[in-house]
Amino acid sequence: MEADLDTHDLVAPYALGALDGAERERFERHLAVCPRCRQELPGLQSAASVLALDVEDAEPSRALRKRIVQAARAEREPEAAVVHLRRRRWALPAAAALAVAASCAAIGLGIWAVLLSNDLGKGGIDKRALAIVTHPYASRFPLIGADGVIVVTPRREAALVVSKLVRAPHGKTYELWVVIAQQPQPAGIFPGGGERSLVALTRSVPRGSQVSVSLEPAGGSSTLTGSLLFGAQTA
Amino acid sequence: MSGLSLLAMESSRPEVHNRPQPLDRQAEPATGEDRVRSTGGRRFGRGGGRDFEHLSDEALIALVARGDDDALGALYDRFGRISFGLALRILRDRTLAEDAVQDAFLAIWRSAGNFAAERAKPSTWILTLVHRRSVDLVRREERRRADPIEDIAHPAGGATDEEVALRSKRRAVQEALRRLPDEQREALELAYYGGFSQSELAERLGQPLGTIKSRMFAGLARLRDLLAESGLEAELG
Repeated sequence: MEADLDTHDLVAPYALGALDGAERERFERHLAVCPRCRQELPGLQSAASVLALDVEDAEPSRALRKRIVQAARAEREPEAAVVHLRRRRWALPAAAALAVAASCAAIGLGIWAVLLSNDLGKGGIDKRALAIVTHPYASRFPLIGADGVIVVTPRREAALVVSKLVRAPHGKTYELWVVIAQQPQPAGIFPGGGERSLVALTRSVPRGSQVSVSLEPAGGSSTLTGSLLFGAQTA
Repeated sequence: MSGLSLLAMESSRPEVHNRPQPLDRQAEPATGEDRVRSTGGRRFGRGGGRDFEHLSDEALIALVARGDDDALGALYDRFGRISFGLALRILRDRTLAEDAVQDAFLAIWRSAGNFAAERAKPSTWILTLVHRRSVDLVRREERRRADPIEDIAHPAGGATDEEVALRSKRRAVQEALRRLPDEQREALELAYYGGFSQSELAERLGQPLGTIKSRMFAGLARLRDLLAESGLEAELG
């Protein structure tokens, strides 16, 4: 069988990692049913990996080890990615929020941006989210399952504020959902991490809907695939 | 979709409060079943930490297969530097190389249960995963360098037993590579360090695909035999 002979030939390129995706899959299917290639592969692969010895060792950053162990742990227990603090309201009391909003109006957003940026890390400030959380007539709904609030303006624009949410594991992202009539609609992604995350939702939040967050593959999903980690019921 | 009820969500996860644990569990007392997993009677937990030093690579992988993230960290301590060196050689970018190593160790984490079935030695298995991620990344990033065969000088410093042993292994590999016909060595090096696929190599070298395949096969088989002669293969896996 000529096609099969061709496939035997792929054993060395496979051992060297020199097949493209389709060829690799083709060879792996072949490998499953070919005793000869299964016999041959380990020795060739071992010879190939010896080439790694002819490379200078290099010191990765210290943080890499931590990231790997943390990501592994988060995969084992996805819910461990969320830190649950005591039910302390992060949200400012309404009067304070009003006072802050008033001073924002007077001073502009610059100072607030500086104040918040200490908390929000290097990711920069989501200005739309900032405008939402400082809106004088916004409503605040406490999160269930994490420490923070969903803030909704009278025009039903919404933002999430959540504290101490660990960074999404490698290859994953947090995704916001607006759940309307039991149907979750995607409402933006964010990485988490840092002291506090501030994110504007990409869709409006009708009265009575839920806002929830799940962990999804990097880039986000169009339909919910992860379990809901935390969220809030709006009114 | 009752899963969407926040109340159900909250009550189904009462145990998750105050997670996660600190990343560094060195100081955590060795208590509970998971702290004293049997490894042929060997005890962990000296001074509250865990001592993996006397475990074989295979035993560490077996612990990783059971979801032991401390064992994953220990495996990283053994293979992280060489993995990163390999990824860096291929990708020439520290950030990308770290991404490749992280991906590879997460692949190890997910697939450690299949390790025995792969019939490979631990170092081969791990380096193959690191290599594959690096090559995937270099192809995606089109970051491949024009001349991957350049000779990177290996520093002579370092005097620990491990470093001395590594240098002697490296010399053996270099010696074996030198004894390959030029066109075979070229095919192996461009594929392995350059991340070129066989088809790209055929084009780059202006040779039929069949020629490239046979150079790769002949080169690898010869390398395998030379390393077996030098006793290196048995040592390294």
